[in-house]
Amino acid sequence: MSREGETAKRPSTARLESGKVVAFPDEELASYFEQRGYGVKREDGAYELSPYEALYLLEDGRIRVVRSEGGEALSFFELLSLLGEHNPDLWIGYLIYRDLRKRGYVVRNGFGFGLDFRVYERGEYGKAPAKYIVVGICEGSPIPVQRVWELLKRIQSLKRELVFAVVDRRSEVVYYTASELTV
Amino acid sequence: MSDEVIEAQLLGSRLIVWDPKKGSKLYAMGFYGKPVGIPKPKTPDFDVPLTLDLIEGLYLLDKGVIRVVDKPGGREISREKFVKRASESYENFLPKYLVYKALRDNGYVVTPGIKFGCDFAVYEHGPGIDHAPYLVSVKLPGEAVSATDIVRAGRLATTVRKKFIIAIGDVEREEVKFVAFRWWRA
Repeated sequence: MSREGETAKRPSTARLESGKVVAFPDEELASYFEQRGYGVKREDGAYELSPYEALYLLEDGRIRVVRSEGGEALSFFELLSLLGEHNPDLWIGYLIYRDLRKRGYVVRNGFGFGLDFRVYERGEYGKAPAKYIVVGICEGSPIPVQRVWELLKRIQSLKRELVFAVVDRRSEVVYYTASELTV
Repeated sequence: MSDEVIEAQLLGSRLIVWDPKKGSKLYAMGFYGKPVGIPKPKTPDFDVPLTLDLIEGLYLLDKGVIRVVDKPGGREISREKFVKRASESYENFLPKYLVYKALRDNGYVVTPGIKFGCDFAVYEHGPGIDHAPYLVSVKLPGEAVSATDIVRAGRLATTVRKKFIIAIGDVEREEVKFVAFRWWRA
C-alpha cells in the first residue's frame, strides 16, 4: 500500500444518493481507488461505491459522507443503518470485507453466490483475476451441503479457489479453503 | 492364511469375533476392529476377542470375509436383517457405510472418528504409522453445514495438522462426494 498522501489529509466528501454512495475524489484519491480497487468510475468521473467500500473508506478516514450538499457528515453507524435498511447481512458482510482489507487484500463484489467477494492475491490486483472467492457463513445460518458442492463446482469451473469465511459470535473471522477431494 | 470365512457374533450393536487368532487376522488385514481391552495394540497378535463396529462389519460381510451369527456356532444372520438391525441402532447407518466403503475400496484404513469428534479417522497406512488421520464427517444430501461445523472441524484439523473432510453420502444415487476443508491463513 502506498504511504503517500496518508498524511493528515481532509477526507473527500461523498454523497449518499438514493441508497448509493457516490464519491468525487481528487486525482490522488482517484488513483488510490484505481490501485486499491475501490468503486466503479462513472462517465462524469465520480465513483460509485459499494456499501462495504463506503463504510470502509469512511472508517479509514478517506471519505466523509453527506446526504446533501453542505449537509452534516454521517457517522459510521448512521451510514451503516441507512445502507443496511434493506440488507440484513450488511454488518456480517462488512466484518468479512474489513478483515480482508485490513490484511492487505483487494476485495471486490462477488458473483452473487450469496455473501461472496472476489479477493485478489496480494499485489495482483489489476494484473491477474481474483484468485479467491470468499463466501461468508454466519453462525445460525447453515448452508445446505448440496449448495456447498454446487458452489465448489461453479468456482472450480471459474478456476478460482473457494474460501469460506466463518464469522463467530465475537465477530472474529476465520477462513477455510474448500476443495474437491478425489479418493 | 486360509480363506476361511470368520464367524462374528452380533451382540447388541457390536460384533464379536471370539477366536483371538481370527480376530488378530482381521486386525492385521487392515486395522479392522479393536481387541477388547487393548486401546492401542502394538502388534496384531493378541489373545483376546475382537470387537467390530457395525459399519466395518457390513463391509467385511460384503467382502465375504466374515459371516454374522446370532450366537457362537448359531444361526446365520442375513445381510438384509443385519442392515435392518444396524440401521435401527445406528443413525444414518447406510450413508455412513457408503462413505466407509468408498474410502476402504480406495485402500484407506478407516477407523471410528468419535474421539476426534467426527465420523471417521482415515489413515493412508494406519494408526500409529501415519502422523495424523484425515477427519471425515458424513452429511446426507439434504443436510446443512453450519458455521459451528466448520469451525469445530477446522480447529480439530489444525491441532492435528490434517485436512478436515465432509463426505456427502447419497444412498439413493450410491454416490459419495468429498469436500476437503483447510484452514486458510489469510
